[in-house]
Amino acid sequence: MSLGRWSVPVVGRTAHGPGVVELEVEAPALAASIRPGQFVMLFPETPGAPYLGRPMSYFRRSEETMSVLFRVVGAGTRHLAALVRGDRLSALGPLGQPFPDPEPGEVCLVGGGVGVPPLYDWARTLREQGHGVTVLLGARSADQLLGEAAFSPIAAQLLVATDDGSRGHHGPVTSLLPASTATVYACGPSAMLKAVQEWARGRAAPAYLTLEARMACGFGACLGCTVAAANPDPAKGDYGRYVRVCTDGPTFAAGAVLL
Amino acid sequence: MSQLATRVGGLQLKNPVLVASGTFGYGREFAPLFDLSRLGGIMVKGVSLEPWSGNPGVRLAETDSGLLNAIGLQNPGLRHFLDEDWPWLRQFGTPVVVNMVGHSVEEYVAVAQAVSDAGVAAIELNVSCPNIEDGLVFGTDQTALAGLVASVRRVTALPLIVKLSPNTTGPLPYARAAVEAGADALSLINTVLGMAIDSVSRRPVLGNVTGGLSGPAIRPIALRYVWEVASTLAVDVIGMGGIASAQDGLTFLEAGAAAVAVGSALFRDPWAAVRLVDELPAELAGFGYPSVQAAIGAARGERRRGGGSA
Repeated sequence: MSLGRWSVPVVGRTAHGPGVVELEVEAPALAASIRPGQFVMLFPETPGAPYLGRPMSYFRRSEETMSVLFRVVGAGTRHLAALVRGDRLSALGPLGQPFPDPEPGEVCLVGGGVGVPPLYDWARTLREQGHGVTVLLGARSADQLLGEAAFSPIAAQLLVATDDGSRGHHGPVTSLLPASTATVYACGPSAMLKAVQEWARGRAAPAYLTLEARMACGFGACLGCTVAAANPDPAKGDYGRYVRVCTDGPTFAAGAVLL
Repeated sequence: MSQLATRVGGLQLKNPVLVASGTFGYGREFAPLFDLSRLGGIMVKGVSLEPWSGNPGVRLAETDSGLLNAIGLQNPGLRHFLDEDWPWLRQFGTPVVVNMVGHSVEEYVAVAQAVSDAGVAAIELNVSCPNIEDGLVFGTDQTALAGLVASVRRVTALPLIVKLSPNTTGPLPYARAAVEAGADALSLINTVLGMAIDSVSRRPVLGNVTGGLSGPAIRPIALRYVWEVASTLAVDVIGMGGIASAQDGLTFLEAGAAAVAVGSALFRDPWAAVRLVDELPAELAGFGYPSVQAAIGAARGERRRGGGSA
């Protein structure tokens, strides 16, 4: 479905630990059309809201609703987190490319910090398609760990790592990456993505990285969210060094971008 | 002329609403969203002789009422524009204004020559680029500006629009230099130079350190540029800078602009320019203007009854 902009009401707000909020909006058209891996630009319709929208991958969806899960880090997320049931926000979407399909067989999803939410609906979809799904979740500490309860009924195997060892494996989540031929999808902080990229080098099975970037528009016009391409292909229209995170991504093959 | 029709520098437009260069790409991102022929005109992203990769590092910084950008004029170059974008874009029948950028007079001249042969509607010179020979920004040096405009003027019969930089002491000497060198119209204004410091790293946000400020923050500056130039010189002006609505657009017409362009507002709402087209008739009628032509420069007339004094 093509891009739309809707004014949607907040129908739910849940805190998921310190400074982390899940905001649910009633948005049937968006919920029906958005695909795992895609995102929306959100604009609180409250006074004093920032000029630009905030790009957010979705966490869960139902027939009528869609939710986003985010950590409060600045003015935009502060405004979003202050919304209560009945407040409205504008949503522009769906944006970006859906996750590319995996190879037949096992799939491994790696989520770090607030990079976890975009993987949830993908895990659900992959499981429905008959893939065995291993989920690796990482966080700084146990109280910042997201998604464990949501993923546990879906994942064939669920492993957790924390930087301080307060839950699961003590160390980076990437040290749990399997020596299998699973297709890997990773979303999280840039240090984590770099580690996955390094790990995936020379590996036969595909690995994909979902990137985050500052964006003005989210739909390919501003060229503000670019990332350097590893092998720009002029035949595919890559005329320079950079590709857009918003419309060429946000998910890229691990070897396709320079982080 | 019909109610919405207007004319800038010899360019006939069915309505006065254009989209500003650098905010609309070459139209491809917007074509699935609305019929591009509804726009008065399209000012495409700056075209250079060779492809430009743009700037490394962070390219955007949001501000209280707008944004800073340091994209670095990333674009696929003249060849790509002529082979891929222009043949596709011309199907909509909307006048296409080719914005151009360059590192030297020769580069601008080469692009101007090539697009003139292709049959586009007009040329817009982005003069905020530094000349590689001396490092001077064309648009902030009257002699360099006049030299550039005159050189392009010699190779094109198309309407020639010069987009002036506001990063000078004021518009008039530069506007005059551009017009005397052969500009048919002026775009007012390009972005305003600014910068931001990151709240965590305590270092400049933008990879390029400085960037161009756009959005509502610069609307009063743009309005003043339009007013000063339109009241002083006999040249058509396209007003731009923070225009997002029919209300905004009308004020620029009243200040003396013959047309307006929507820019950064498109990043928030890709339909902002077509909404302006839709809402302009009611906005004009609401203030008793029978047409766009009647509104142009109207703010210079006698004060309306009920008009407040600041």
